[in-house]
Amino acid sequence: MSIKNNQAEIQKVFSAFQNPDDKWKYLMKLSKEHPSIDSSLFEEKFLVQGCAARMYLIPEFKEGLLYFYMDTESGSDSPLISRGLGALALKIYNGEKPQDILSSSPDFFQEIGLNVGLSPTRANGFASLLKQIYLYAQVFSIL
Amino acid sequence: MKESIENIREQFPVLQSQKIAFLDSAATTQKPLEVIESMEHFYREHYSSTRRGVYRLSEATTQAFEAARRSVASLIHAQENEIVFTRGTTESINLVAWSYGRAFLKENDEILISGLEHHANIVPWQLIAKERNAKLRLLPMDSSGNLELETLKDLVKPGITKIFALIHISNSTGTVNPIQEIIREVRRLSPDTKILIDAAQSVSHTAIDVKNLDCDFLAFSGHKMYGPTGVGVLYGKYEVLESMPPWHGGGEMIQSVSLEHTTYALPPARFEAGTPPIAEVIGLGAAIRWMQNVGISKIEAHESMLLNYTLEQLSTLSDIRQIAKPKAQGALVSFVIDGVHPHDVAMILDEESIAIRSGHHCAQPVMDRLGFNASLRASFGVYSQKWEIDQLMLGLKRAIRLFK
Repeated sequence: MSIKNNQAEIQKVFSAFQNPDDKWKYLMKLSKEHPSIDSSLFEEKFLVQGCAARMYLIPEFKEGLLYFYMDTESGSDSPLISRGLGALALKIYNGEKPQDILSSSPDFFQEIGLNVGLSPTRANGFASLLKQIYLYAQVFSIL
Repeated sequence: MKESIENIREQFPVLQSQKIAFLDSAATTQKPLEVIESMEHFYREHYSSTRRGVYRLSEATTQAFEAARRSVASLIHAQENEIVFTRGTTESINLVAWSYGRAFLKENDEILISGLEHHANIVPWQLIAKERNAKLRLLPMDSSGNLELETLKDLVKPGITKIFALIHISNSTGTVNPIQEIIREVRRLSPDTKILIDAAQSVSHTAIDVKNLDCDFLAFSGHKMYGPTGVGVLYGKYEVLESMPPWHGGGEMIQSVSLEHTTYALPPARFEAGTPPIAEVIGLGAAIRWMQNVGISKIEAHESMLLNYTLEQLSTLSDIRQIAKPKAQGALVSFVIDGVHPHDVAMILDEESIAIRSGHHCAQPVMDRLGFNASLRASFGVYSQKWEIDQLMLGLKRAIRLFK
């Protein structure tokens, strides 16, 4: 149920946006608040394929819950919007049960209008990130 | 009738249907109606293969194809038999590397390239150097984006430097290399060094005369000069082309074939194996005639006015920094907003209907030397207009407000 709560919270934020810049400002804020991860964790196998910004997503399965660590290669020097999108995805899925992730719909992001104004490259990168999250959920759901 | 620069944009269907500021002509230019129609006419009215048939339809195609070769030759002041059609600049450079390089490079020979090159003028040389145990040398660039030409005297060695490959106008910094002066100096130091000029970013912006320049090879692409994709040109001095073995084998590049032995055709046919991109070659011919009708000097003057206007406008924003300030600059500006990633800026600009490139522009060594991961690049063509730069400025101001 917690993914639903996370989504409801994000939805509230998005529905309060009044002009196009508000969304970017929010994503930038998320990027700035998002903790950096040690670059020693940047292994090729954790690279999100299809993301222009060289984003790494590292899963950790602990006591039945799936945690994620995400960062982009050049840390604070990287594109803020990409990193912000990564942070947004984690706000929804981080620390949840794999089964709950699988039963939630990724269409949520479309519904709140995230894709509006997003360049095709960014939109594809974000879709790749979601795919990776759902794949990890699939793998850990059978453990 | 000469075209008027002011109304020229009307001839570009994409720029009529898409209401955008298109500032990415260095990646590829839009196509005028005349080019599109020349290809459509070929497909609709006299489509057939070239050079093979004796029937009238095929002969008409052969004539149109060879007329395009004459147009290319006239544009750069070459002979027709010195024009080889390829798929683009990249293939033209690879052809020289794999044909000339494989035939003439020996162990410890050197290939000299510059610190301003596009990957297309680096990687083919790395590959052939590795295969022939030859060495790749670098003519360095300073932090303003100019080549350090005083080092030529140490780098160009008679009998050792077999090939010198140089970009004319840089796609990443806009630097216009003084190729006439450089070629003269290289010839003086080592008359036998073969010189290749990558003219992908220059041939549609400034007049080029290969006889005056005295280069051995010149490579360029159709799609950056108002022509179609999938076609490009390698100019080679005839006697140099004649000394080179074929690269690709197939039909149309032979004189006679038996199972034991094949005699190869003379250039340019020797390097055009298989059915060529006929419609694209015809389209390229149309693009060149269109450009000549507009007038290269008029195009150059118009783009130079736009460049100066852009530099003047950008200088009013204190957060903007050009990645290089070369002595001579072509029709493009490469810059960053301090502390903001170019991809983020490009996305905001896209929202404002401004098409601009962000990234390393396939020239990572250049960006590394200048100390940038990526930049924004605004580049112009004959159809570019001042209002597009004004729109860019509004977009940049919004990005600065947002990200700073």
